[in-house]
Amino acid sequence: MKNIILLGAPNAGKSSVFNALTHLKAKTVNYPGSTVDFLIGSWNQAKVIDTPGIYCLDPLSDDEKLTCQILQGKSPIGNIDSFIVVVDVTQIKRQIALVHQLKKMNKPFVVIFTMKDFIERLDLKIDTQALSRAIGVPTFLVTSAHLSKDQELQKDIWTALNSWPAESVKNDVDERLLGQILEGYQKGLSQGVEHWSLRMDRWLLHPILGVLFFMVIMLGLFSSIFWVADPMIGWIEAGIELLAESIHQLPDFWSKGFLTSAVLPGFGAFLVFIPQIFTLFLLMQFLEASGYLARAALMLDALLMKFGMSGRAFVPLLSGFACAIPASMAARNLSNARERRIVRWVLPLLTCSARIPVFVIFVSLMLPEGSALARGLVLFGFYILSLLVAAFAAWVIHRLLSQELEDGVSSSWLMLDLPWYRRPSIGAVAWQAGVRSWQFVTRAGPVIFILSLMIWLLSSYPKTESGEAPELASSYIGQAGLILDPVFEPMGGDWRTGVGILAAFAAREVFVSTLATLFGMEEEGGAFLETLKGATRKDGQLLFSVPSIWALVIFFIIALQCLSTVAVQASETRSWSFALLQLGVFNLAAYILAILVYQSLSILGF
Amino acid sequence: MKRLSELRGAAVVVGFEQNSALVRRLESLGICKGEKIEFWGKLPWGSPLIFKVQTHLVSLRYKEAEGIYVDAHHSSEAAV
Repeated sequence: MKNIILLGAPNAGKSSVFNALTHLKAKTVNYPGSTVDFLIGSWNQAKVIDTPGIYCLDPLSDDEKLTCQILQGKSPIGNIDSFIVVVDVTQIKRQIALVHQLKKMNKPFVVIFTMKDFIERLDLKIDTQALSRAIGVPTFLVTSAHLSKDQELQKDIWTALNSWPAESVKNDVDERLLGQILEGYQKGLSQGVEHWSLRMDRWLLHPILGVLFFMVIMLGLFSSIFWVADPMIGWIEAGIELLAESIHQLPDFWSKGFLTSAVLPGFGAFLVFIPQIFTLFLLMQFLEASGYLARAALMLDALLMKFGMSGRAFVPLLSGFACAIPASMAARNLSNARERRIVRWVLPLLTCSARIPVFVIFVSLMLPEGSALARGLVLFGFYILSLLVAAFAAWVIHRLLSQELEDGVSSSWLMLDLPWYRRPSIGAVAWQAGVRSWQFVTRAGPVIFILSLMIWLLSSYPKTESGEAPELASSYIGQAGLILDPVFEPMGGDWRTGVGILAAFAAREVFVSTLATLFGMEEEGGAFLETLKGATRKDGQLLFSVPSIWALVIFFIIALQCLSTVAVQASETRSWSFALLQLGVFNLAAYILAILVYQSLSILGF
Repeated sequence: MKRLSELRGAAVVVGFEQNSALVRRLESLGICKGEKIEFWGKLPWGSPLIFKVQTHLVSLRYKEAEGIYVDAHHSSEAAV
């Protein structure tokens, strides 16, 4: 099987071409010996390898180094037979530099120019046959979204890759001819873009208005998690209710109790938050595809520099609001070792999607009658709070880290290329958000199932003398809870919140499903939130009072409970001591601060 | 000849202070010797600076732009 590598500058449309050729049937492969992963898919009788974007063959970051290693055949993938170089047709003059360098490698390759639809909207044309003559390799002009359906074009690309004589590749690019082709085209392009992309930047990159737009966009992003997702939540709730009723009507069978008392409450409480997680992924993908994320990175550069980071850190930091795992991986694009360390230190403090179900419960407990906007604002407040905590942690580690931890020449540089604004393909954005949400579900699903089973078993045994299920307090979990009570009592909790917190070390969202399983069994048939609101501790005080909810909020903002994140952090930093230190420091700080918050608010009479 | 960080109009790039991988990176972003470059704007707190090169925008920090020399006089026809 042939190996074909897909190369191109960041934002050239490489991933869209990869998805079109492989029909999105790709798998992520971790590169042995490093933490960088890439996608491999099948196309005809070849393996297609998607690689991180590169501008030229002088790598600065880990990702770029890996791309160059694969290109040179110095990777376990082995020898590369040919390349597909993806070039943004609106950026030919710059991105052709990579083609220049690749020609020296004596391998057959083709160039796919993307963004055909974009130049068509500007009534511009470019002669691809003349481009092929100038560059010395076959070229194709495509609209990535249409490539997957255009079998003829795919066939032409395949034929060109396999029949093009390698000898022709050796010739240099004909600069004179290329200049002639691009002369009128570049002028038309420049005029076309002046009309809208640059005009938009006059507003969105304005020193004052740009900041306001940024804040509005971020506020919109996080508040829409509620109002966009609301209808979808209703559908899921209705579906679960229907399923529960259907199971109740069935004749008794051995696992009926487990299904109705553990699996449905556990999964139900978790699944209703998937629309919110999907919405977050969807909007983040939309911002990225529109070209705004690069602008937002610029906007924050000067601010992030005060904490030892750069604007480039914005992308992994924003990803951290979805999940710390891909965010930690995204941090390897940062060329400065010191900055990578700081970003990875603060990532677990950002409000990831796994915290959303937990925070939504807290918001609902705080504002049971609140409007979607009010609840959205409180959730936004939690995000701001987590940002402040992360900023403080970044400032501390920035002060503590040695200044020598730099990567020589590449230390502290920004140099960003601002892609033009694009109208994102809603289908592609929704697909990618769906894939990421599904990954989230499949990762958390088995954990939730196993923990639901364990908690159900522990709370259903030992049976009473008459063979009935025991009272919760007399069950195994209730007896174990006696040990947990003194630990969580100072922060306003009891053994049930304690079990939830401990279960959340498998995955944060498990906290909700655990509470649902525990309280669902205690008061079968009662609405989950109503049950939580009325729950009391041994001393008769409300379990979820204002001080105890705030203590839990603080605990969940700071605690590093996701053990998958710990493992990835160790792997990314190649340092278990870093990951374990983070685990210890964050959890200890979370516990102490939660106690302080609970005690202070209680003294103040809340 | 002046530093790119001081530019407030248009100019032609004439040289770089350092000779390293960063120069090649600058070149791949379109900031090459002989290329027209135009000051486009700056962001809050005075950094980063944004320049227009060919048809696109590139951002550089103030201190990064300090290492690039431009000839503003040479390219008066390119003035904004």
